[in-house]
This record gives sequence, structure tokens and C-alpha cells, in this order.
Amino acid sequence: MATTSAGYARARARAGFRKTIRGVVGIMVALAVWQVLASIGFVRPEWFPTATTVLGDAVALLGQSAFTLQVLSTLYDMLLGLIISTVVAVPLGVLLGRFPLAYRMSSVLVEAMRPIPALALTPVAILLFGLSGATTVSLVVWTSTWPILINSVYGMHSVDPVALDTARSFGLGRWTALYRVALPSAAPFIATGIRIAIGIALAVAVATEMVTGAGSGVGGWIVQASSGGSLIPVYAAAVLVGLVGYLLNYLFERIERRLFRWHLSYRKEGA
Amino acid sequence: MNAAASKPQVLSVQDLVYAYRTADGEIEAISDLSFAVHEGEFVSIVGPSGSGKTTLMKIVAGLLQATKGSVRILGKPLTGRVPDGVALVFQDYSRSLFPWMTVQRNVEFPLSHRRASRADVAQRSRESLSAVGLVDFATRYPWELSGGMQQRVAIARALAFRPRLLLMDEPFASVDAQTRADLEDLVADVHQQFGTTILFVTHDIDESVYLSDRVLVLSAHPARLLLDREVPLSRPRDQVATRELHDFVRLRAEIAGLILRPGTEKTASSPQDTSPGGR
Repeated sequence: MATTSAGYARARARAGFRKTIRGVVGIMVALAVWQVLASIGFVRPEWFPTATTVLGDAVALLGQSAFTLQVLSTLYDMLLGLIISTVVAVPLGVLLGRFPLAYRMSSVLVEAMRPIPALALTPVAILLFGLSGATTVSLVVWTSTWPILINSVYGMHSVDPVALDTARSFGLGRWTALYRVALPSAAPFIATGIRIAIGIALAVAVATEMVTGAGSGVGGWIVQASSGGSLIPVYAAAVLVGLVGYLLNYLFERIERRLFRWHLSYRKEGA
Repeated sequence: MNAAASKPQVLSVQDLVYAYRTADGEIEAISDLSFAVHEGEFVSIVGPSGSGKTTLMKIVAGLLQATKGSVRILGKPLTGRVPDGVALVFQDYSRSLFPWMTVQRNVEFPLSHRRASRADVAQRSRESLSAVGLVDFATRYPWELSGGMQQRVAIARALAFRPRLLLMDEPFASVDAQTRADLEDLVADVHQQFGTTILFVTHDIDESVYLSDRVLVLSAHPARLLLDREVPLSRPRDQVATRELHDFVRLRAEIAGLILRPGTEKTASSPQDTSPGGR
């Protein structure tokens, strides 16, 4: 048993390494294509700089506190928005998932509000919160609430009735069973909702900052930098925002994998 | 009457009716069912699939409300609440165990929301796990174990609860034959060792005779009591030798006749008529 599990771990490590290598190769190929296209003057170099120029600029940007402070500001607003929407959407989703009547009454409303893009609400947010971080936070909240809410409802609907019957048969009351059985069962679904929200939240935060401007956040920084005429800093900042998004997603996935290794979808990797 | 009848009644079911509504009108799943289970008894309910056995278990466990009639546990009528001191082992072990808890946490689950000291809880879970031979697997997760082991965890969890009445709803229907024989003997041992009162539902005639002190035979659509018969076999029983005994073969044949050739049963099958003399 011990030898097979050690062998299994080795095989898994090898598979993980192969996956990483393939990912790196994919990125290298894309960068090479970019480099060649830009070098042969396919498009004007001011509009479409080479990969090496952009990456060099991106590395340089990381050293500038004027830029990194704006990144932190964006991250702060985004995380604050995510926390607020999680605190609101999870309990709401759990209740909607638990009470079918409430769900039926609200589902059309939810489906109608969900597609409203945050940017369409920017004027309202600016009116309410001014040209400040609060506007960014409020629009992040608007966007993140929906995936978290819907996944929470879905998670509650997926709770096995046999598990609930088990809890009840041991004398657990409704609310205790909700807390001790339904909520842990639904947790992987809720986490998926939060992970989806993280991806959109970053995009919405940057976009909002570009609209509200005033030099705050990465979005504001990009608007200001592009007013100088060169697009190189815009590309460099975009690459870094993409990297931040990737890292956030990666971190959250690691946490999910650890917390929910009991769940069917993680068992192979987690056991 | 039989030897157990002098002991106090743990479960008494009187004129139980369960009906449910469908598009075609009301369907009676259980019809005028009456029986009792006495302290320390191992009673099996055997009947064809769809004979409302699971429904009956859910009613006794307080998970479903009867349409008519009364169910008393330790003399107290069920009043739409889950009764105290009753544990239920489900057929679907993989769905009734909680995958996010280790084996030990699963076993401790029914105790954790009661007022019990940490030491007491640990001691009871250890005792139950050793009764089913899984002490070494306490820190594993249920899904890391085989089906038979998972069902043993479910049994240990029920035992840790120290139920006055243990309900088992076709607990071995989804394990292989060898595991099934092992689990049968495990449950028989637990019954002897802890003196637990057990109501065991199965559609396997052999299993019902092999395990129990008394067998109740139900008909299908709706469930009615066809036979209430004491099993004239001594304990401990043996998977091979017991099944070859004349009394075993005869009782199995009698039950099989009732279940496999419905319509030929005698209508007079109340408990008084059918119980034989003592063991």
C-alpha cells in the first residue's frame, strides 16, 4: 500500500510537472508570434510594440511605487467589494436555496438583474458615491453578488436529502442541520461562485477606475499614462493586471483544493 | 407467546396507515399495520420491493408522518417529532456519511450536539469503532474506504448514539455477497454484545431468517402484515451450518411461499395465530 501510494505521488508530481511545462511552452510560443509580428512592422510599432519592449516595461513598472501603490489600491477596492458581496450573497443564497417559495418568487428578478452590466450603472454609482474608491467597490459588489448568489442557491439545491434525513434522524433541528450538514455540502459550490466573481471583479474594478479616472487605481493610472501618447505603458499595465488576475485565481484554487479535497471533483488530486 | 413478549415494548405500531396523493388519486402504501418490538429483540421485516418497508422505517424514525394509527416508542407516542433514542442506518451509506468529516468525526456526529464531555464522546466513538473493527481507520475519510467498510462506519455511528431502538433499512443491499455475510455476522454480534433492540428491513428472505428472533412478512401494494413468526434457531448462528438446519429451510420456504406466490396466503395471519411455542 505504502509503495503504491508513493509511486502514485511520484506519478502525480510528474504529471503536474508536464502540465507546467506545457503551459510555459504555450506562453513562449505566443510571445514569439507576438515578437515576430511586431518586429516585421505588421502594425505601426507605436500601436503594437514588441513583446520584449512591453515585458521590459512591465518589469520596470513593478519597481515604480507610483504604479504598485495603484495596484494595491485596486486590489483593496476589489477585495472589499468581494467580501461585501460574499457576506450578502451567501446567506441570501442559502435562504433562497432552502425555501423553494422564496426562490420561485425571486428567480425571475435575479435573472433579470444579473445581465445588467456594472458599467451601465456607473453613472448611478458616481452619483451616489462620487469619484472615489467607493464607486469602484459598489460596482464590484454588483457584479460579484450574482455568481456567488446563484452558486449558493445551486449548492443548497444539490444537498443530498439522505444526508439531511441522517442529520434529522439523529435529532438535529432544522437550523442545526442547515449549519452542520447543508452548509458544508454546499460550500464547494459557494467557493466556485466566489472564484468566478474574483475573475470578473478585477476586470470591473479596473474598468470602473478608467471611467471615474482621477488617477486612482490601475485603471486611472492607465488612462493617465496613455494620455502621454505612447501605448507601451498601457500594454505593460495590462500584462501585469492579467498576471495579478492569474495569481488570484491560482491562490484561490489552491485553497479550494485543500478545503474541499473530500469533494468528488477534487478527490484524485487531493487524497 | 414468545420469550421476548414479557419484556417491555420498545416499539408499538397500531393500525398504521400511510397514504399519499398522486395525480391518479390517493394511494395507500401501508394498510392497517400493527406489530410490536420488545426490548432486546431482533425483528426483521421482509417483503417484496415496493412494499412500503422504507416508508415504514421513515415513519418510525419520525422522518415521515403517518396518515392514521399510532406509533409509540418506549410508550411515548410519536408526535411529528424525531423520537429520542432511535438511530437509523440507511441503505445508501455513501450518501448518509458526511464526506467532509473523517470516520471518527462521522461517528461522533450524533453526539457532538448533545451535552456530552469531550472525553465521553471520544470514548464512545472508540468503543463503537472497535465494535465494527475500524479503530485503525478513524482518521480516514469515508470515501477512502470500501462500501462494506463505509457501512460499518454508519453502523458504528448508530452504535455511538446508544440507541434504544436501532432501525436498519436494507443496510446490506448494495454490497457484495462476501461482505454481506461478514456484515450480517457483525450486526448479530453487536446485537448480542450490546443487547440492542433492532428492527431490520430487508427483501432477502434468507437474511431475515438468519439474523432475527422474529420475522414479519409484509405484502406489497399496500403493505399488510402476512406473517409474524418467531425464528426457532439458537444463537450464535453460523453462515453455513445454520442455513442447513431443517427449521431454517422450512421457515424460509414458508416465507418464500407468501412473498413469491401472493394470493395463496391465509387471511388469518394475526400475530396470535402464527406465533409458535417458545424456542
